Amino acid sequence: MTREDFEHFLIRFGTDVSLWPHDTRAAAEALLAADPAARALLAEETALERRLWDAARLTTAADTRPAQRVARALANAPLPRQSRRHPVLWLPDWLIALDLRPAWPSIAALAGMALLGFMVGSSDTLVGIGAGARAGSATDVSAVVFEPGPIGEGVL
Amino acid sequence: MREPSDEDLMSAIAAGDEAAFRVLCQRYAVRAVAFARRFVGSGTDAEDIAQEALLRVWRAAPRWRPDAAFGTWFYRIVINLCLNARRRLPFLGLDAAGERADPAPDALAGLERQEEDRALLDAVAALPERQRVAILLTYWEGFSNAHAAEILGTSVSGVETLLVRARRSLRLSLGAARKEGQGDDA
Repeated sequence: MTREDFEHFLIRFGTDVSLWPHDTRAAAEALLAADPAARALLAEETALERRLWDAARLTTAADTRPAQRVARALANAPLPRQSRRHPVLWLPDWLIALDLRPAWPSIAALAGMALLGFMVGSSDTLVGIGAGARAGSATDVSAVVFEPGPIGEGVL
Repeated sequence: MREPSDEDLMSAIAAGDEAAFRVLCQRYAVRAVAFARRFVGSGTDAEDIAQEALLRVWRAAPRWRPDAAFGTWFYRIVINLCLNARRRLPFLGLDAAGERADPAPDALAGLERQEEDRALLDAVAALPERQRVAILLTYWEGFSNAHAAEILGTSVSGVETLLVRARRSLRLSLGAARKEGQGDDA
């Protein structure tokens, strides 16, 4: 067992090595016997765990008073309307709590609009290019793009 | 008579039973406030978070599916609200680190204890968000690593890794704080 393994087992089984499963305990005890750093780690982890449990057991008025206010406020104020839309089975529960609704109808509408716009736009361009091709070089697009107009020259 | 389980209450709340909702609020308001206060560091924000979390429970109750325990679902809502609040506001430092229910008879020892508690809570507050959530869920809420993993949406070994990192950071910062304290005393 490495010291890192030992650190993980401390999280999994707690700092009382005597309560660990037999095989793991034997390996841990061998490590503790051989490695002073592992012994120091165990001592520090035991102290930290005790402090954490101690602090966690604190009963504070800073928690209970606001909680009472919350419970009172929710008991006295009129509650909002509940969301009665059909459950969306593929959404995780916590997302349901955010009251999200499925976005696919709006996305489909947006995609439809985009497609329509693209079709109208490209049909215009195609008509323009077709007409241009029929008219010959007079409507050469590159000439329009690359030749500076009078405004550009004035500015430069 | 048997106390109704959280899930029984949720079924009633889903049908619009306000009395059942009040019972659930009594049961969970203090847990939500305590968790949020230790996460965001401000009692006022914690109160808002607890109230919003419970209102979301009320609103979403008809759509709730009892796939997971109610507590798991509720803590996810609280954690998400805490994360949103933390992104809006910096950590403010805990309003009251600990007003012990059973203060030590010796006033000096009591003060030292309070200082230690405050140092510990400040060190927890300085942890990265997921590590802080893992510590709060396992120590303050007393959840098993498996339950914490379910709430965090990760594996048990993922939670263990978060806890290993969190405890390394805590050992370091508390060790440094202790050395500073000794330096001040000297």
